[in-house]
Amino acid sequence: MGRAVGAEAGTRDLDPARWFGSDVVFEESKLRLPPTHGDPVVRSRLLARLEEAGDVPVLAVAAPPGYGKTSLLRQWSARAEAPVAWLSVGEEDNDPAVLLAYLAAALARASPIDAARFRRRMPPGTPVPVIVAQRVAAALSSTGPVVLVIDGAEELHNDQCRDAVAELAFRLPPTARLAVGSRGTPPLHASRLRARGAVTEVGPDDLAMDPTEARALLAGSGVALPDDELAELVRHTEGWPVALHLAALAHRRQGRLRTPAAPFTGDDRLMADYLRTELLSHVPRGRSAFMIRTSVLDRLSGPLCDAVLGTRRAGRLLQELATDHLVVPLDNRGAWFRHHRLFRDLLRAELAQREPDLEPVLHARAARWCEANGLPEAAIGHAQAAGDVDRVARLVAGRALVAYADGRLGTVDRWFRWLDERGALATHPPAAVLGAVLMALMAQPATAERWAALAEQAPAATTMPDGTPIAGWLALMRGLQCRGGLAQVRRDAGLARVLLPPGSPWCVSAAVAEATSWLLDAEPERADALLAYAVAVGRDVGVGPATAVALAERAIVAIARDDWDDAERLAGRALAAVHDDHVGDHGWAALVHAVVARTAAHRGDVGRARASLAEGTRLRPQLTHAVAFLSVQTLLQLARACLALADAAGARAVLRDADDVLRLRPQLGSLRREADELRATVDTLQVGALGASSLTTAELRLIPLLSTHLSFAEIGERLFVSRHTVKTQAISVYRKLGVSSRSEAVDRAQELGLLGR
Amino acid sequence: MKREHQELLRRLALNDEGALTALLGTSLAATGPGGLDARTAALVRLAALVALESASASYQWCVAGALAAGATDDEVVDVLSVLAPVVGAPRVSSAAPEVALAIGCDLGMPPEPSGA
Repeated sequence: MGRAVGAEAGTRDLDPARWFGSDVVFEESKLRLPPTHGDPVVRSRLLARLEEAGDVPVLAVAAPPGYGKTSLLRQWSARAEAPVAWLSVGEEDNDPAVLLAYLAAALARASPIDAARFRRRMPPGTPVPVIVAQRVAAALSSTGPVVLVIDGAEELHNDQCRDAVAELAFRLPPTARLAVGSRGTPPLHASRLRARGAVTEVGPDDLAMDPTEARALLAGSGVALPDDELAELVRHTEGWPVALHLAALAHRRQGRLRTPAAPFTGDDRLMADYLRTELLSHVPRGRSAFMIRTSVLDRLSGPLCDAVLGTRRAGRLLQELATDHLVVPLDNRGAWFRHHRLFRDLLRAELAQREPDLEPVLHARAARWCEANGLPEAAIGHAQAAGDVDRVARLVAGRALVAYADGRLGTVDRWFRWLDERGALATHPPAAVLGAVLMALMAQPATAERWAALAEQAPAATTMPDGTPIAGWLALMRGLQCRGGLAQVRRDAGLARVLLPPGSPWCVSAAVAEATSWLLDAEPERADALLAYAVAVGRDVGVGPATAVALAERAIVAIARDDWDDAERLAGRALAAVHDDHVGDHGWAALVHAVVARTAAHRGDVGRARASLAEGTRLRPQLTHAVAFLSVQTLLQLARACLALADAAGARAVLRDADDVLRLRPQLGSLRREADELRATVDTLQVGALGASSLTTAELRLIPLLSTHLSFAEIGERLFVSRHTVKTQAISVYRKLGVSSRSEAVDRAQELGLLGR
Repeated sequence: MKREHQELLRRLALNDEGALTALLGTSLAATGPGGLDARTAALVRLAALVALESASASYQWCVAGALAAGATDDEVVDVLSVLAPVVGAPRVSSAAPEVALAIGCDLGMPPEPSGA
């Protein structure tokens, strides 16, 4: 359940500003080729070598800062006879949903693509890296030739995001090429790509300039050196372009060449020294202090800089710096700028050394300004850097639901875990209660329970950031948790429905939970009336997931009164709601697939029933005790679908999952009885061969990873199990799918719909 | 090696029922004429596998069959308990992690098989 993408969900275009909530900053400049300074040296030697290598699908450029990775990528991609999609990665891309949105926007700028396929949400428990790679690869194959450049990939530290890029490299259509620029190891399975001859690798040695290139670079700065001095400089800098550049700047200013005391190839510290002695010392003091102190900011505007530095005319200074190419404009209005990336790192190091105590102060001021000026997420980032836990907690409580509704689940997760690590959820009940509800919906029961316990400590008068009492959220949280059985679900969900702000999409979720508890307690009429209401309201406020569940529940009511025609109609509408809202990978969508399977089987459409059952089976690992009553109900519906298909082994596998949840939530009275009855029915059936439906949740969790290029040992690391366990489960998967190898298993799983569609 | 040999060996290593049935001329999961039900037959088979110190794949196949036939986790674990005095502790303890994994419980102590 939970909120869908919102009323904007119908927007099918790829306007990045509308991708997420309209007030999320979408950094358009990340999709543009970074600006060049002066006349860049053409890396003809290197480009010729890359050309000789032929049509190798992947180009990996890895070197420390200042080696001209971006310049090379720009020149290389300009030579390709195809449109270029460019993404300069930023910190915010460490959420797979955000990375995907930027990649989609980058591709859309190069070539028209089908936006709809990008929008499906990626809940935890789904093979997120595979989904991202699949979607980007599919878009690439629909566009015709495209060159996709991912620059600054060292910023990606989220494992899922790194795996996604690595996976994409294996899935490129023949018409596409991928280039990755990174300071550290690029997020690619280099050895496996190498074995296939699918990657060209460029490192610092390749990027180092020879005397000819060095001469061109210096000439660009108006500096000409005699051959011997030039050779000496190149030897000393080992051809490191940024050092050559700085040397040229120093020469221009002082009329002589000052090579640094020691060779400083790629060493940040030595380069920082050089920056300090050769560059900052020649910039007017006010300017250099401004640049150093504003290095804490991702984006610079006059008012923001004034607020952070306590100055008054930062706007004009920014314009001047932009004219001197010392900062990069982000718009045409002269409102927003940013530092050059390489430069900013050095400036930050400088700040840390010169004024270490000032950094948190500057961040705190930035947080205050961003919060007051409608940039809550930037404010969260600065408040975190300032260590201002209270502000982070308050801002996260006000922002979490928006990010969740956007599908930026990685961001939600990161915020809450930051608070959790600092013990802040114990003292901030609004954040704790929202965290508990969202973690329950994200199928993370252990975390949800722990945070729920913290939220329970809230003083009665606590209010949420919107001013409403916390009681409504506590009630919703308890309703979803259902520790006290169905009667308690009904009581709490009913309370939540009344206490949550009217018109809130969460009222619809509460109504569905309440209605479901009626249905499970053999009160189908009362349930149906409330469900019909939830469907009507849900459509108004645009909550697809809860509406889809409500429709599926109504189909179950219809089946119970033996009205299969009505059931089929309702199941069809539920399925349409799932697809319309791009939420087909959520665990509770399994309820929809289960009722579709049941109605199809009843009509005798075995093919359709099997396909829907497979869809539901795929989502089984997400059916945990986090929202126990819904999980068990869904599992029992899946078991009934198996029975309708005379699949006793499948039914037993599903009932085993239900037992696991019931063991943790024993008070779900009628559901336990129903499970026992179903088990008795299964006992009367002959068990046939074990097929896909008898896969265990552990095996189902493994299947998407089998479709990657990760080794068993690497898969084990991602699932936190041993290599032996992975291998054993893989063998079990092969047997149940009737295949004898990993690649056949992936093909078969794809056919059956176990990898999603 | 011939391609079909490779495929056959791979399937045998997986304890693939089709391949083994073809090889043995009888269904691997056959029940006897005396009316031993599928669940009991699977548990008896499991006992034999433990006594033989079988491969991981065989345990997975057998336990999955037992569960599908309606055996409970408790019954599967019971097989190990009642076998111990007959076949000895070493065989039971080497089977334990494999059987645990087959009922969905990863003990995190793999007996890394040779040539894995």
